[in-house]
Amino acid sequence: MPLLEIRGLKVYYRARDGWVKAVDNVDLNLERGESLGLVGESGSGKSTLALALMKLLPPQARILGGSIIFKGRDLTRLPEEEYRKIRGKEISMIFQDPMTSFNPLMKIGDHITEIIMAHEKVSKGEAWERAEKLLETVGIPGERARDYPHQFSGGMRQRAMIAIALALNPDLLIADEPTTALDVIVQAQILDLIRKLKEKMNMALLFISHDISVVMEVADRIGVMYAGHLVELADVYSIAEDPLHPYTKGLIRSIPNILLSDQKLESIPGSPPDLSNPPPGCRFHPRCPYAMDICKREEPPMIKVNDRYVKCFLYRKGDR
Amino acid sequence: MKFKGALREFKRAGLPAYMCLAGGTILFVIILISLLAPFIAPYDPISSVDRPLLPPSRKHLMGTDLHGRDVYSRIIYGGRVVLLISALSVAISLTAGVPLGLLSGYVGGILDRVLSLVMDSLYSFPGIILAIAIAAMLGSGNLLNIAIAIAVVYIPMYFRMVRGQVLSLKESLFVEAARAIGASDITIMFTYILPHILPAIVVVLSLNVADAILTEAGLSFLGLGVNPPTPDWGFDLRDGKRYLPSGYWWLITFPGLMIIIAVIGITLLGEGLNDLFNPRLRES
Repeated sequence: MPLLEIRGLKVYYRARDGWVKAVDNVDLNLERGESLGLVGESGSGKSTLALALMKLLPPQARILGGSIIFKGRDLTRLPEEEYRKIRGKEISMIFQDPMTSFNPLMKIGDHITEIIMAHEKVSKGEAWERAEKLLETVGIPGERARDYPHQFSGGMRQRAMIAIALALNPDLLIADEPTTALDVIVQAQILDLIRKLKEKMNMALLFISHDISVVMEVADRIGVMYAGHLVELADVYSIAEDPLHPYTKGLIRSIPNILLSDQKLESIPGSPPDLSNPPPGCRFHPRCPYAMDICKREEPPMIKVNDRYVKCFLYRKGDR
Repeated sequence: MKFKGALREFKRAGLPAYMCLAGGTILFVIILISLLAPFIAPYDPISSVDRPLLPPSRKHLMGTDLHGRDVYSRIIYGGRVVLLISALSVAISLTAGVPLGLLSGYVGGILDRVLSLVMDSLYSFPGIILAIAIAAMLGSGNLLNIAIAIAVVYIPMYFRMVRGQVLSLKESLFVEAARAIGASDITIMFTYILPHILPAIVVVLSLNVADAILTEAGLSFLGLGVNPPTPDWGFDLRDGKRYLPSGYWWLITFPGLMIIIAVIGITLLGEGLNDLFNPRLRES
C-alpha cells in the first residue's frame, strides 16, 4: 500500500460567478521514501494541492470530491482535532518565503520547541536541547537557537524552517517552492540539504516548483500540472529524455542551455486558461501545436504508456 | 557611561520623550500624594475641623467648606478614590475587551458578527450617558459599581482595536506556518498574535486612563459617584458649585484644578507613548 494515495481530488474555489477549478480530478501515488516533484506554472493548482494535503486551504476553498488516503486513513474525512495531530508530526511542510514564515517576536529555538511540545510531552529544557541538535543537523551552530529571525540570513532561515519541518521525523515532507526566494548558490545548498536529509530519514518528499530544472535535481518521479489537471506523470529520466505531453515538451524546451548560448529561448505561446471557465475538452488545446478535433470536444483520459501516464489523445491505443 | 548613553537616546527621541517624562512625573506625584495622604494631610478630611467657609489662609491652605472641613486635606485624599476607580475600570475593560476582540477576530463567523454588533452599539452611545445609565442601574455609591459603569463604556475601544489587528495578523504567513506544525488555536492566539498587539494596547490603555478620570469626575459631579463624606474631586466640585455665586471660589477651584492637572499629566504620558511606539505616526 502506498504511503499516500490521492484519488480524483477536486479542490474548487468559490468565486463571484461560480467555481474556480484549481485542482480537478487529480490522481497521485506516493511511496514511502520516494520523492515526487510537481511542476506547473502559477495557477496550475500545485500549491492548492499541497494545502489540501495539509488541510490549510483558505475558507473559500472546498474539497468537492475525491479522497486523500494517507497511511490507510482518508484525510478528507478526518475531523480538525485529529488533523492537528498529523500536521507537523506525520506530514510537515516547508513554505516558500522564509522571511515571513517566522514570528518576528519568537526566538528560532522557540519555533522548534513549539512543534516538539505541541505533539510530545517533554520538558521545555529537553525540547530546547533537541532544537539545538536539529539546527546542527541542518548546518547551523546550536547556540544560534537563541537568535531572533531577523538575525538570520534568508538561507539560514530556510535551513531553520527545514529543521522545524523535520523535528518530529515526518513520513511526508511537502516543500512548496522552498528555494524560490533564495539566490542560486544558496538554492543549490538547500536542495542538497533536503536531498541528504530525505535519504537519511527515509521520508517521502513532495517537492513543488515552477522550475522544472530544480525539480529534476531532487525528484525520482515528476508530475506535471496544467490548469488544475495532472497532465503527465513519469520518472525523471523519461521526462527529461522523452517528454510525452505537448505541454511537458514545451517546458523541457524552455530550459535554457548554457552550451548553446546563441540559441533563442523557446516559450510556449499563449497563456493559461481562466479556471472559472476552462476551455472544453483538453485544457491545453488552445496552445497545443498538435491539437486535434477531439481535443476540443472531450477531456482526454489518463493513458498508461509503459510505466508512465499522460493525459493526451495523442497516445490512445493504436495511435502510437 | 551607560547613563550618558541613555541620556543621548532620550534626547534623540525628542518631544515625545519629554512628554512622557513630564506626564509620568505628574502621574507619579499624584500617586505618591494619594498613597501618603495620611502623612501629608494636616487634618481629617471627613470631620469638621474649623468654622465653615473660611477663605484660604496659612492655617487652611485652600480654605474650609460648608461643613468646616479642610479643603486641602480633602483634595489630598480625593486622589485616592479617583485613581482607584479609574485604575479599576481600565483593568476591567482591558480584561474584557482584549480577549473578546482576540476571540472575535480569530474565530470570525457568526460569533464575530454578534460580538461586533453588540460592541458597535455600545460604542455608538455617548460615553457619559451610557455610564450614567449603567451606574443608575447597578446603584451608585459602591466603588466597584462605578468602576464597572465606566469600564463598560471603554470595552468596545479595546475590542475594536484588538479585533482589527487580529484580522490582519491571522492572515500572515507565520500564523499559517504555526498552523502547519500543528499548533493549537490557543497557542496561536496567545503566543503568535497577542504579543504583536501589546504595544498598541499599552498606548490605548494610557489614553484610556485620562478618559476614565474625566468620566469618573463627571459621574461624581452628577451625584452618581461615591457616597458623600468620602472625599472625591468630582463630588466636591458639585458641592462647591452652589456657593460660587456667593463668592466662595476656593470650593470649586481646587478640585477642578486637580482634575485638570491629573488629566493633562496622563494625556501627556499617553500621547508621548503613542508617538514613541506607533511608527506610523512618527514620520509626520
